[in-house]
Amino acid sequence: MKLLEKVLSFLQYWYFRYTLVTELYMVEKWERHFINIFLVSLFCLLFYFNHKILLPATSLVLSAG
Amino acid sequence: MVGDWRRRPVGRERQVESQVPWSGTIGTRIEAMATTSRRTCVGTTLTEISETEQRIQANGITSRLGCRVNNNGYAKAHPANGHPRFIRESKDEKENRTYPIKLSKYNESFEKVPFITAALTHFGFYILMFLGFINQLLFTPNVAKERKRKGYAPLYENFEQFYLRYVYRRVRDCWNRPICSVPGATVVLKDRTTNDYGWTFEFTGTETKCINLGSYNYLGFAESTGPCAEESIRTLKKFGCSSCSSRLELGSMPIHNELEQLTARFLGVEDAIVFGMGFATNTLNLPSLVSAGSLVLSDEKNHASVILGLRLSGAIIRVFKHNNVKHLEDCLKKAILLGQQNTGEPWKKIIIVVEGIYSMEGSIVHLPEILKLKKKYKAYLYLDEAHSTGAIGKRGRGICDYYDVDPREVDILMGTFTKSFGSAGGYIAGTKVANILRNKHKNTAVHLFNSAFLQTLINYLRVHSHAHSYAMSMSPPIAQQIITSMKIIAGEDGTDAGKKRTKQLARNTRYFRRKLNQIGVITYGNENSPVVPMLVYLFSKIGSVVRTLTTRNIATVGVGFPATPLMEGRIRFCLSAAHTKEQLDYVLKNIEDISGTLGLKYSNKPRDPNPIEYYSDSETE
Repeated sequence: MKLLEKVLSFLQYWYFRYTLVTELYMVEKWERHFINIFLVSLFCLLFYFNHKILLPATSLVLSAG
Repeated sequence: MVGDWRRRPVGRERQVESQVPWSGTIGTRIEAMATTSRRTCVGTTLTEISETEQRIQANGITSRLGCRVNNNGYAKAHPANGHPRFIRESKDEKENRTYPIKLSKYNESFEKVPFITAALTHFGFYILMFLGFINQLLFTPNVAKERKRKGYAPLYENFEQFYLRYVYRRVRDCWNRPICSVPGATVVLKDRTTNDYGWTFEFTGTETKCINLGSYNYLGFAESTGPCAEESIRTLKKFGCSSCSSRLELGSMPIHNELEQLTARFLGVEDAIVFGMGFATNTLNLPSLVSAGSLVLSDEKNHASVILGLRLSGAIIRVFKHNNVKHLEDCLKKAILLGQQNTGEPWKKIIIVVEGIYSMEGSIVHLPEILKLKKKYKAYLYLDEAHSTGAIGKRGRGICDYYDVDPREVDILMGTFTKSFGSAGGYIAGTKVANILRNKHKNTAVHLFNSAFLQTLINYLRVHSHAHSYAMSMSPPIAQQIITSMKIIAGEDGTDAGKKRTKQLARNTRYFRRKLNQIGVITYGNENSPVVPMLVYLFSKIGSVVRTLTTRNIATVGVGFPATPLMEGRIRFCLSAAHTKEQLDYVLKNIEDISGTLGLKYSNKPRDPNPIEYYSDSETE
């Protein structure tokens, strides 16, 4: 339990630091969720793009070379 | 020479005459100034001098005595301004020009922002803008709306308005806080809460006593007890609270003349003129000193009042980089070489406008170097000492005292009474005199001539300044507060209380700044300036730092966009002589604490591993 609490507080602290540097500290709750979802979906799309397009393309170029 | 013809009663000349001892001469001069733009020689004394001294070099002017005398405030084109004649200097002139510049006095730092922080600040700002637009789209802002304006262009829709509603509003609880005590070393805040993210506030009914690091109370004269308060009350009972008239009409009281003489004595110049409002001192006097066809070289970080005044004047404004003497020289050279825009005519006059201590940067002007430049290129110097007068220098006389420079070398000294003196208002002090002439000739004739010229600038302002002619004169108790505090600083009250305050402030400043450097936060400015900006960059961090410090009973001020560049949010600590070492230690301990948890340790500078000493009263640095 102690470990879980420690991890939780660690995560909480760094989430707080994340809200500070992205200015989400001072905005309303729904705005914070909005940006978080937006960022997560952006990263997901980026991941998908890399996985489905960029990786095959580079491997194609490398194997051709 | 634009004299306002509607308001030229006979009383004007009479009043000016009564203020100077050689009223005959001055009266003639003022009249001559008002009626004709070109003046002829003024009596036999000058002709005598003209035989002995053919050419004097007034600041920015090379003129011939006896035939035509140009002086400051004389708005006709100066034949020599912008055309410096490089004559060989004699030995004592050279000595006059070299200052013993102590490099330690320039000891200032402007650390660059780490790249990652800059990137994140931009990113965060885009997020805020984005959210602001979405918020505006979905909800109608909770503000007053313009009604019955169909067909009119909107009055209040601009970027600043948007910024105020969707960036500033979110952290609005950190500014404009209501207080309910004297803002001395400590201040009592009236607590308030908001339920709608800063659109409205409600008082909770409780109060918090905080250590006050947000007031420009440099020497701690913001007190509700003590000699200043007592004398002010006495004056209030004697003279009332207002004259309800402007200085030029019926508002002049003996207390104003006393204050002006005291200010001049305090600053070490011949004459001064005081106004009831500090901001207006800049804004309303600059237009009477410069006009279209003049060039103003203004520091990048100059205060809004200076900028407003310069814009009102219609002069061409060129901005040089903050405290960068080399860039200033480049600007001067270019300006003199190319002359006025389009026509290429020489400038009527060139004025360098700088501040003593820059309130947002905490830096101190490089006065000796600028004085050298000003003499080399024959420009005028306007020094705004709003934050420095009283606060800096061994005797508390401001920047000139700090650098051990003769204050008479600065053409126009401006300052406010709002900060160090714990009062309100502003002054302009100065002389307009050929320094070279003063140094060369010690005979009485020249001295007589000098003293006739010394008050030219101030007398010119007494006639032409809008603040002097139209603004209400300073309230007597406010003037009394300045007089008493100034006398204490100058030691004219017979005690060393003023000296103690100046010393205490210097000690506090050094201690606080060094400790902050040791903590590892980025501070800007000179190590001797009592304004200490601590860079936090992000809006959220301004908010979080101010809020956290308030919970720990420390009141500070955050500074954001309109006052600073968009990406350079900062917390500004204003030190005071009223702070004790214990209070500062408490503040520093808390700053160290939160700079760890909030991530404010941006500095890459090497830190001093040794503990910082706080010098006691007996020790002298």
